[in-house]
Amino acid sequence: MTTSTNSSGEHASEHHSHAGTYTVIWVILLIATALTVITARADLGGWALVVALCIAFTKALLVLLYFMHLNESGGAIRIVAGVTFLFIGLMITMQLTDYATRFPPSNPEGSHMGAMPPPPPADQQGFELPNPMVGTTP
Amino acid sequence: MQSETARLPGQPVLAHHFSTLDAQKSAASLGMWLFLATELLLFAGFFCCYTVYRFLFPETWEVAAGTLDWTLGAANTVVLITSSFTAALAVDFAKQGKNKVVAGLLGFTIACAAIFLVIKAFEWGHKIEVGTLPGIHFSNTDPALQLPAMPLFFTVYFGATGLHVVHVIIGATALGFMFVRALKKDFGPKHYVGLENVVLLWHVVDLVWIFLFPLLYFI
Repeated sequence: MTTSTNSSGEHASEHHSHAGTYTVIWVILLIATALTVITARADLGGWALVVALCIAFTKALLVLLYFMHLNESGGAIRIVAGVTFLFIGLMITMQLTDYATRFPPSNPEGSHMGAMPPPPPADQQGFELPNPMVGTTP
Repeated sequence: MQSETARLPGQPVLAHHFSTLDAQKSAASLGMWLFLATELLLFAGFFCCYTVYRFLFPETWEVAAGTLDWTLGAANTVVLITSSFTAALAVDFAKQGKNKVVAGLLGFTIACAAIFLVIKAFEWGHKIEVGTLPGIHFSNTDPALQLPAMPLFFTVYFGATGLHVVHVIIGATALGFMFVRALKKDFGPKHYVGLENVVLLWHVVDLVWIFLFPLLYFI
């Protein structure tokens, strides 16, 4: 599981401190928080969500890799962490797929997704297939 | 990390069902990560609610996010990130056996948790005052807020931040136990996995807030 297999069972972390790395990550996280505030107040329109989520995922990745040591942990732990986020992603995208493709009235009332689409213009309404049974009787 | 036999502070006890201390430590870490996976999936439920209702009621969500005080949210973000940093440092010093420094850092981390809760209390207090509350308790009469599903936003808001606050309290309590152990000089180069696991929980508390902050307060 761990790469350390020497007889003393010592990890590399015992010999050198991570304090420097932690400080750098902490400063980056604070700058990223400031960036979140600045970009969110800058009125980016449709890009606001994308930008905010990109910053949030970058911050989360830094916390996971450096504060939570995923960058040096064993394979089993990495699989657990990776699969967790995979399943969260599946959970959210599958739910959205469901709600985005529903028959409109089955969505909650008052939602823009709940309204039926407007009827087609009058000249395109009432189009009927010719009845094959009319006037064809021998 | 309970031991049945008496042991010296700073020295681990190898449980009889493990062959080596390394195997014992790996098992403890993996167990903690499995628990954290369930924690993250629990919070993912709220993120799912948030995503679906935001998709269904985008205008409501935009107006509602504007009613939250982002300065309090940003202050809490800084407090939590700083506490995560000091908690990570505490593990680092525990591995070096510097128990006094560990106790100091953990004390600071717990103080940050307390500051977070005080700020949160002010935030919630204001919401209770103006009546932006979940479901049938929503009593705000501002015409701008009379949109479909507006009370639902505050259900998600109080649900997600409430669950998060519960985790802050649990995490800070667990850190308190570790603080006492540090005072007893219980951590050493081979004996820190209990602290490491509690700190992992604390990082998850931070991780969840990293997503809650922009999603609830801004967009």
